Amino acid sequence: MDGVTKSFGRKKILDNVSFSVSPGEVVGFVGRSGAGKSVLIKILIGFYKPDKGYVLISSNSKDPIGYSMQDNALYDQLTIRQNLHYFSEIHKISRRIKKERVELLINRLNLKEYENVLLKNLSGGTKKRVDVACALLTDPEIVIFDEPFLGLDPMLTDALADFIIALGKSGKAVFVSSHQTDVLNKISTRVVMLKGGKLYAIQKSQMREVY
Amino acid sequence: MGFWPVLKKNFRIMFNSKLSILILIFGPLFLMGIMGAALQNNELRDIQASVFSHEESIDYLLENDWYVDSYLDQLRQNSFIVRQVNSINECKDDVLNSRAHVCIEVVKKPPIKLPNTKFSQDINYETQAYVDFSKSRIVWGVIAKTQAVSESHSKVLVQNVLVQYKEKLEQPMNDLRGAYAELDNALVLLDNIDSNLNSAKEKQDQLNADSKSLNIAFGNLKSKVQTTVSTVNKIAGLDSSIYNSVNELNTAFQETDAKYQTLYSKLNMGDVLSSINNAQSFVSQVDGNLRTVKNKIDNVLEVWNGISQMNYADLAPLSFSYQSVTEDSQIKGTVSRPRLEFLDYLFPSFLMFFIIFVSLVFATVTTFKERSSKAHIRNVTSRTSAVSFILGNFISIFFILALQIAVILGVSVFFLRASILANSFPLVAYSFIGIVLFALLGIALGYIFNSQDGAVIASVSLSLLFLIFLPVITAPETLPLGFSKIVNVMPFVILESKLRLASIFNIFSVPSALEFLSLACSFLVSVILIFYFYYRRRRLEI
Repeated sequence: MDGVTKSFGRKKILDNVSFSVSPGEVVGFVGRSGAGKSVLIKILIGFYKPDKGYVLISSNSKDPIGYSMQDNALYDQLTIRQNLHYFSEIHKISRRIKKERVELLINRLNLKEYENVLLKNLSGGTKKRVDVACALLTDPEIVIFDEPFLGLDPMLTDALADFIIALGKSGKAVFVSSHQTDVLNKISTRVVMLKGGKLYAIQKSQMREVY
Repeated sequence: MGFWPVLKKNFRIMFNSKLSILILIFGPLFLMGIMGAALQNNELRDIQASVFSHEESIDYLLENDWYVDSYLDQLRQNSFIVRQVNSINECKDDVLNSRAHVCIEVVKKPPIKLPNTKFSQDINYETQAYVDFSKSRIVWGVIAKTQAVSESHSKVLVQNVLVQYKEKLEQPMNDLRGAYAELDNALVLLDNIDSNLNSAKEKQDQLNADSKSLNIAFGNLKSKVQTTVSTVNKIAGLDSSIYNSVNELNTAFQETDAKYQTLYSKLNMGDVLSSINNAQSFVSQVDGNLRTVKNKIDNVLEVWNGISQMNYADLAPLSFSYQSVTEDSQIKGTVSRPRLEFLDYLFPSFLMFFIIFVSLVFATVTTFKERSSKAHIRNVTSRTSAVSFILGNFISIFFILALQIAVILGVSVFFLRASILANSFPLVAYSFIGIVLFALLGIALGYIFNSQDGAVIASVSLSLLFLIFLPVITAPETLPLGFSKIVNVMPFVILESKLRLASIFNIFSVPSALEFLSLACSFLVSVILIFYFYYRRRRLEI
């Protein structure tokens, strides 16, 4: 991301923000509520367009970014398997790969038990795992998490943290936005902070202080 | 086929909800049930009717005035308040000046040849109802009731005619059946005579043979006797008693021979044989003629059988039609089907209203829910195009609404007297056009408004506005001229009138150029609105 500026009305949310994430890195992303973290993430995934600047992704893939949103971008009236199939199909993943990948993600995220249950009948933790599975459907090189630990119990938080670390180790560039600084401290290789529309690199040990 | 995953997803969402399925199927059933129960026994009372009757041709004088009299009685018995008038203008004026709900013109027509029979029907009247379509809330009821009386009267009269025909023909047909039995008896007797004549011919042949044998035997006898007499007479010296006795024998034989010659001539009965042959020829001719008569009687009885099996369905019903009392109006029609109820007349409007309301509201809500769903962000950032999403959602909405309309049409077969199935193609075609147009408009509303409340209120308000201008609520004739011209080419009015023509009058009316233009423009405007607001909203989002 280079020189990205974004305003809503007169309010400048992002002001000349630049940073980069390399493969294998897990970058923690902090900032106070309303600082513009979600805006920055939505610019990264292509939902918002920056007023200025650009996002450059070095990849051969047509779908290089996967993301898991704070409030789970899923259909509550579909089952886990139906959600995964639908999002695979709209990403135009071939039938064979879709079948393999859905099966793999269901097993890897321990969703087999609930695969045919409607999402509205599942717990927040399970929904979050489904959202993470959706983020990984296209086997993206960059994975973005927006508040992935929100509402999870400590066990699920640890499990997801381990999963994110494993993603980083597998060579994916991971970008995690969260208020849970202790978890970020555990999983991230470095941390950036958004404050007053500007992005700062900070030490992991400084995270609590900047709040 | 980028829309296919969207379509599948929408149907999966629907089928995952039992409530959605229940509403989808039982919603229309519930509506039809309520409407059917509420309107099926809808009866209008005290209908003011002005009646004018006349003969179409001077060849048909007032000999059948009893028809009009009994028709008026029938009207009175069915809650009509009848006033007979002397001219058609007076009759129409009564309607125009609100003195009557309906002007009924009864015209006597020439006899009509009955289809599929060898008869013509003498009683042939045409009943024309003139109504004021500005009184749209009751006009269809008035038409229905007038039609009901006319048709029931027509049925009774035509059946009476049939009964009278049958009664008049009963006696001669019974006589003919008696003659038929006698004829059968005569044929049997003729057969016996023919057989007796054959037997007589055989006896005659035997007689001839015996006669010839007898003649030979008698000739031999005669020769022997003559030889004996001659021989005895040549022998001299014999006792005279022998001569005497031989001569007595000869004399006796001569007498016998004379008698025999007479007998022999009598036994030659060539005339008798000729007579028998002659008689047999006549017997054969008479038999042939009797069988021809029998065939003719068979034909007469078959025709009679046809008459006795004729029923009301074979007769030509007395025709009933209606039209607007205002001459510039194009509303008119004929009804030549089973008696229709108020519900039948209201059904096209109900169907159109259902299509407008449900299509608009359902499409608006579905679109808004889709664009405000949590998964919207994934849809927008996926590799599937906006067109595919819009198309997929539109097709889902279309299928769901089409299913509901199919349920309504299916249930209507049991509720309505009008035969929906008989003319299903135009009904289905125009219903589907309605769904397409109003679903597209609903989708556009779903993209135009920022809040779901605003979108729903807008779609409900718009459907109510359309409802108000449906001809069943506000007759176009009652609107200011310029306004009514505009309303007449609005898609919902066009489609409603087409549905009415199809369901009540069995007419598949192809849209005129102007109507087609209006439908096409509505389609295009909705599509343009959808894409304009979709991309505008995306621009605002980003």
